[in-house]
Amino acid sequence: MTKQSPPVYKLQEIMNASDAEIVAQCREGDTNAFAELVRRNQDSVFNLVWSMTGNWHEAADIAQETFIRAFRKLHSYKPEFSFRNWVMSIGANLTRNRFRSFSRRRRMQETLTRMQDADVAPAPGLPDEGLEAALGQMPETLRTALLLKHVEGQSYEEIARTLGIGLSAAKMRVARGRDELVHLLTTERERES
Amino acid sequence: MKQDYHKRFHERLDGETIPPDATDAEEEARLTAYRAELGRLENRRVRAPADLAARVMEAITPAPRPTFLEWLWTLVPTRRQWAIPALAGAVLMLALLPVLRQRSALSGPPRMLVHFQIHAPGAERVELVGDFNNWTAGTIQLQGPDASGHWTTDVELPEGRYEYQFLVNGTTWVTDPGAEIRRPDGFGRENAVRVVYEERS
Repeated sequence: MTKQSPPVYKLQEIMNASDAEIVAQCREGDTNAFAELVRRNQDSVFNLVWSMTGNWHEAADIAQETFIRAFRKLHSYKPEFSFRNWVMSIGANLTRNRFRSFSRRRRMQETLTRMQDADVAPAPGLPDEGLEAALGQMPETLRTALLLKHVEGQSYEEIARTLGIGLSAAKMRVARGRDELVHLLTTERERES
Repeated sequence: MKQDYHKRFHERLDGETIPPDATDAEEEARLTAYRAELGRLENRRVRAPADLAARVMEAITPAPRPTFLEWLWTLVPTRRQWAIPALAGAVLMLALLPVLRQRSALSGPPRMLVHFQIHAPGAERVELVGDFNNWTAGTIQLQGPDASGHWTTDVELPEGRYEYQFLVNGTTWVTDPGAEIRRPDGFGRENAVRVVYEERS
């Protein structure tokens, strides 16, 4: 009886493979390989969606749906582009669509019950409270563009593609986002001292 | 002029241009301050929920298909005396399969009648609002109250997962007390969750 290779070798191969190689493997029917793509990119997708919605639970739902959609649309992924940017643009689209009904619901609830705006759910495990507070006060569009630039390291072209906006709009949002963030952090520091 | 300065300043932050005047101390100080604050942002690491990958994989992994022998075994009746009627039924189903497929294709996905009820004896009006009617009030009214104070309605829905709430007297949102699954709605309340699926034997 021949001894089979332990599964860890296969896992190692997947871990060393590029995103595009794993996509090719998934297309050949290896569904399990997709888990590695999720693990590699889940923080980026979740961070983007959370930034756009400001709601932790909603972001978890949308991030999950984003990867399910990505898996079903793998045939349309072009390996010359970054898989991460591709899946993040799916997440941004989904969030925008979900946000439309979310806003409708919010407007209706506000009218009928005079409820206050939803609080942004705190992100567990983030030590820089001052930074989180400042980000929470920023307009969503500026915050999201800023995170794509300075956390994800995307170029302005990639930001424009992810968010479905023009190049100049992407540059403007990042610049205004920087100004706003620095202003908020400086004001807070001056208030504390 | 101010706009040009602003643009050039952010281009410098991007490392795109060389400063024309490296001795501008004020601009240098401002750049240093910006880089320090943006450095805090660049160190920020948000972690996705720990079970995200598992949830995704559960959703995309197809259920294992039974082997041919396992499938064949399911066709064998457990009691011998049912063999002939069961076989006759199987032959009949095979004969009707094209017709059933055609009917199914024409009628779209199966829809189930889903029952909603709430105990609100003092209410004057109760509505059902949720994903299925785009959270629009005034489209689904519950009937009631009956003698025991219950308001009820039946809604035909395709398979899926739906979130909803009851709207009592047009002003008060009430989460279905009988719901087994609930999730925060982002406004400090909870939506009830109903999963609708066809029971396949």
